[in-house]
Amino acid sequence: MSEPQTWRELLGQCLTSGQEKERIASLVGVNPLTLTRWVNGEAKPRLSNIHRLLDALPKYRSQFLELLPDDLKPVFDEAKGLDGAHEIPTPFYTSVLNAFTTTAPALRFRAICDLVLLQALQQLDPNRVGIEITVVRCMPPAPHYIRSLREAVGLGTNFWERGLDQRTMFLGAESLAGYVVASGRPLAIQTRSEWQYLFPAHWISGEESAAAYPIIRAGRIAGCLLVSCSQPNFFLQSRLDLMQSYAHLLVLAFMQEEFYEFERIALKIMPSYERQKVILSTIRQRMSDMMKQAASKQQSLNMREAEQMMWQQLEEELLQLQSFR
Amino acid sequence: MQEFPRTWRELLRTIIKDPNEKKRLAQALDINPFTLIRWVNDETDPRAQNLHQLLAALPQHRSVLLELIQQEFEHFTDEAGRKDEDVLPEIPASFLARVFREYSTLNEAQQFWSLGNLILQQAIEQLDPEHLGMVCVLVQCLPPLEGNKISALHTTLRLGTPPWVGHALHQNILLGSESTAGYVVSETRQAVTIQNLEEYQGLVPVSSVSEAKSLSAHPLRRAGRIAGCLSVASSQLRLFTSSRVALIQQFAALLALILREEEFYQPEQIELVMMPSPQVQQPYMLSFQQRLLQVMREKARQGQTLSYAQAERVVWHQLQEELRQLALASEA
Repeated sequence: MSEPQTWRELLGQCLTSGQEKERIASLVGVNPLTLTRWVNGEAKPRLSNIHRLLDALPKYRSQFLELLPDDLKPVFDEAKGLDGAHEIPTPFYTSVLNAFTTTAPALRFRAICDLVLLQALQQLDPNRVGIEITVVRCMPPAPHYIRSLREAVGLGTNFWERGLDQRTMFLGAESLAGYVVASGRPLAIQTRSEWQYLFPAHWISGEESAAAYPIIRAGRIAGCLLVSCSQPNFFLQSRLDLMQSYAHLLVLAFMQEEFYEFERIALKIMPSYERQKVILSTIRQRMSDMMKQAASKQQSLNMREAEQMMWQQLEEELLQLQSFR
Repeated sequence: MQEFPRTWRELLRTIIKDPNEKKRLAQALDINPFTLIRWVNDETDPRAQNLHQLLAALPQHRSVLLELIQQEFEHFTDEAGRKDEDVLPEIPASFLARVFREYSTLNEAQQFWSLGNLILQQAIEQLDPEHLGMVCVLVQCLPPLEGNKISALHTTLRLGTPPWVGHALHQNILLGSESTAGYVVSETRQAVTIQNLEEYQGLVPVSSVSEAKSLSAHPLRRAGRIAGCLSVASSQLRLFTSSRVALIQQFAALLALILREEEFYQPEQIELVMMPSPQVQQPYMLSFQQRLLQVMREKARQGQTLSYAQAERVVWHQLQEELRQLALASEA
């Protein structure tokens, strides 16, 4: 298929079948014939139609944006209302406060992260374009400085779909999250080329754009909220505002002592995901070894302590792995 | 002394004694002022719609007026009023976003006053939009001296509309087992709502908030522990409809958020004693600053330095002990 020269040609190429045409027409809210008339240059869509068209064809979003003439280009900052709600609904705040009030401190992190990620995913990506949301937290200091971050909980739509499982990737100074945690400033990367230029080591295939917001309380940092997307230019101002509100809510997930002064953030470079995978595949084994060992010495070790010790061991090993390179 | 009106016509008579008020009501109801006089003299009856308009025009008398009207017109229902209550708006999302934004940016020292006042302001705005008279008080456990149990609560934030503004705003008092707040914190650990304080004859001790007709008190909890309660009093009877109570609960949850972890206590750490009435406490509270300076001077003389917060704590415990003795003596 030849490279389309106009947005009308591109739309024509998207209408691969009658069924697809029906689908797009219903999402855009127009008659299928109207789509044909747009393709043939017989009619001009309204701006609101363009917004819905872009949402109906997320894969072609960036291509459309390049080809659309200026008068049809959506102005994203003013498009708040069109990307769905741009503020967190009151009942959701109520349920987070409720979880905060009723959950035991040891369980608070998971309870609040689970709630927030699920809601953020639905609100940031109602059309299931394909995003992944992760809460990244500082590893405990060893002994004074924080040397790395760990992806603690994640949730994704579409090709990253995986449920609320425990993620096990360490991030350091080489990563977007690392930059945001060390600087305390949010950052959004809108395209792959920008990404490869800024953080070449941590580009995962399929990721086109990403943004991270620090989780800060009273001038101290606990980690960041990281969102990556399979589409370029996903992070409109309205979505960034929402992310910020969610980052503020995530403050409730952390204990007071899990917020660190910025002077204590001294991130090292962590190995690439491929190299980490080998070591991280041993997590289960390590946990059970540790529990057995404790039992044989008649020491009491609960799961939480064992997990914490294991993460610290892994961090140490990964740092050594990197320094031997 | 002014006698309590026995009929709605009597109440209206006292209201329209003020010629300006008579004129205003006649305009609001779109009737001749003489019609008002005929109602007052029991010469004619108003139509239901007039009564609805009358209730709307006199929000400060609404609850009493409605009760009296219903004595005469049994089937009259205040539908308009009920509708208002049912659609009580939820806390705006933008306000909540602001609270959480400030919660993450403010330092701990600023957080309590700044966010606490912001939350109480919003609470009053939403719970009493017509400014009929409401006071919101944050009551917290008085931190115990080492090894001791908590024997009293103190009021730490207070915000109100008339008749509870001005001097009363800064009134700091201790509350104990004699108070509704004390009951909520140490006994039920659940919300308590009393719709008519004058006629209330239940088990809950009713602390005298002067001029209050109804009140609702909600515990501030975190993971099984308790820090105190949010107590809301109104100058109106039966103000606390279920939707208002639900709203207060949300404000209480927000207030609980801004308290520090160590301000929450296990139920078994709380053993409240009786405290005397606010009137009795007043002269003691006025001596607070003086006592504070005295404590700091004394420590300085002994070569010790005491922070402001530490000195404050010492004074609170002095006061608590003296007031406890006073309450015991008056009991005996």
